[in-house]
Amino acid sequence: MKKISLALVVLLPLLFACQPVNDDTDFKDPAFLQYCGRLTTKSVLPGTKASTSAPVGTITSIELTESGFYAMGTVVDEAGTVTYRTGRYGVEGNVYTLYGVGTLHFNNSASGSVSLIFTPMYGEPQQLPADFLRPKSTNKAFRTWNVEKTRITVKGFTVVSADFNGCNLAEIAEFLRNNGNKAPEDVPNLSVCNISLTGTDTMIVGYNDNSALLNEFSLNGNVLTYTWEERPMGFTFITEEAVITYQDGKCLLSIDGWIENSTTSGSVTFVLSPTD
Amino acid sequence: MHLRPLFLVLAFMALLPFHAGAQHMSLGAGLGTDGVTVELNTSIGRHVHLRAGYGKAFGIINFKVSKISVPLHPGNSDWGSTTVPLRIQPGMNEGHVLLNIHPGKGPFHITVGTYLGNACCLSGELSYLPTDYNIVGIDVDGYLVKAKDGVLQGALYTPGFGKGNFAVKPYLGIGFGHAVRADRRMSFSIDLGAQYLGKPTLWALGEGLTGRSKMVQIPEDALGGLSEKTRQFTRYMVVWPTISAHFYVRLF
Repeated sequence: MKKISLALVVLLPLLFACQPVNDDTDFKDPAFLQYCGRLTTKSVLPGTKASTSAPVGTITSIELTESGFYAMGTVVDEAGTVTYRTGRYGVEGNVYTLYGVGTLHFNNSASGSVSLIFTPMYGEPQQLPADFLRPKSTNKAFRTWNVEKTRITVKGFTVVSADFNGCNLAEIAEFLRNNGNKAPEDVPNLSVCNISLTGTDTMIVGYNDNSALLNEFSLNGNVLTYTWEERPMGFTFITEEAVITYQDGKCLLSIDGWIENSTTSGSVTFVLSPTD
Repeated sequence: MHLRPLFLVLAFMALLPFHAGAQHMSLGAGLGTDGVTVELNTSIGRHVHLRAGYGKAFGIINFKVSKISVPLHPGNSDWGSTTVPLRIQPGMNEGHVLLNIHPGKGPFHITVGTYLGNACCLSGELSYLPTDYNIVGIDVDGYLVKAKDGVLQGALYTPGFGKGNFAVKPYLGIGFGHAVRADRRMSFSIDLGAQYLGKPTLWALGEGLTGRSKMVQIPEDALGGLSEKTRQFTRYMVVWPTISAHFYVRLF
């Protein structure tokens, strides 16, 4: 009996020892860290609108993310509207293969003016004077993330939350309507597949139809300041701030938002996992 | 299972033989509104018995409330309402340290002490909820509380002087019988008393964003009409009446 008692006395402090907390997570470096950056063709200025002189079909910029994803901007109408196509890329020396689009050939050793040769999949090579911008900094948030799960909390008629696999805009709009909130009826059956944050301060929201929205951002600690208007969804994120936290090998991106022309506000939290 | 308080009480029980006056010791088993209990007891002088034990409710006792009205959709009262059954059962899982003070030589005693451990007093289960309850819930500090297969489980925590899900509930009562008898191998005792419960709070299992799950406290007004019903139900839950019977065998 005395031995058991002594053993328990010795073990007692262990029972009150701290439990391990895994609120921080280290990720391995992105696979394309030495090849990533932004190419901006010299015919246009950075931004969402091309110069009015740029003809339809002009390539405006190409973002090459740390994780091997690209987002290529192209002028699509006379007004100079630019839309983006996303996909994966591979590199061999100075030759980048943009899968589904073509190849790029340029000197990627440093930031500065480069002579860019773009060869479309079905077409002749084009020479495009461009600026290449290497990432200004590194951060473990700077990579391409898969959207695994989305938690929506709506503060309208009442406060309710729901989890969705991935992020299907039509599914979320239906959830909002069922909870007595206004949400557009004609939301397309689009899903946000991935979100990229790059060292060139670009946030890329990639959809399952290979389209993308590009915005600038800045990161201060774990607060991300950005602009993102989710037009198909009717969402505007009023705070223009997101908070990044890490937990259990995931990145959690939490945003407060509201639906235009309604009293509905809420928050969106993306559960993100690295693509590489 | 809340193991740490249990180990604390077990350690306390194991230390009992060390005290100077430990002439006799008994092992006991009991049944009552504090669950099924096991105890180790020792005498301290001629008038005091020290009892350290552990009790757990095994779901033997439960009762069903047939008509609980809930909205057809958890987030939209425009859809109307429906009634679903609620099953409630005691959920205690805690240790206790008690002193039986015998004012005279007879079996009558006054008992003071405390229960400590998991704060769960009652656990409840709403079943046959509409399918939307499997999707829509409430977010509590990043944990989503919602039904699973139409069943929503919750618990009423009564922390006493404790905090969160750890309860420290003082006990005061009277009883008849001996926990340890020097002259007999076996003894019996009946106790009647009350545990101070503190402010009852509603808890439920929440699912974290990354797959973790834990019990979280539901904010007071998060459940709409159900919150008011819970308040009405818990308003009078200040003490937990504790009636128990114990059977003891003297070890030495």
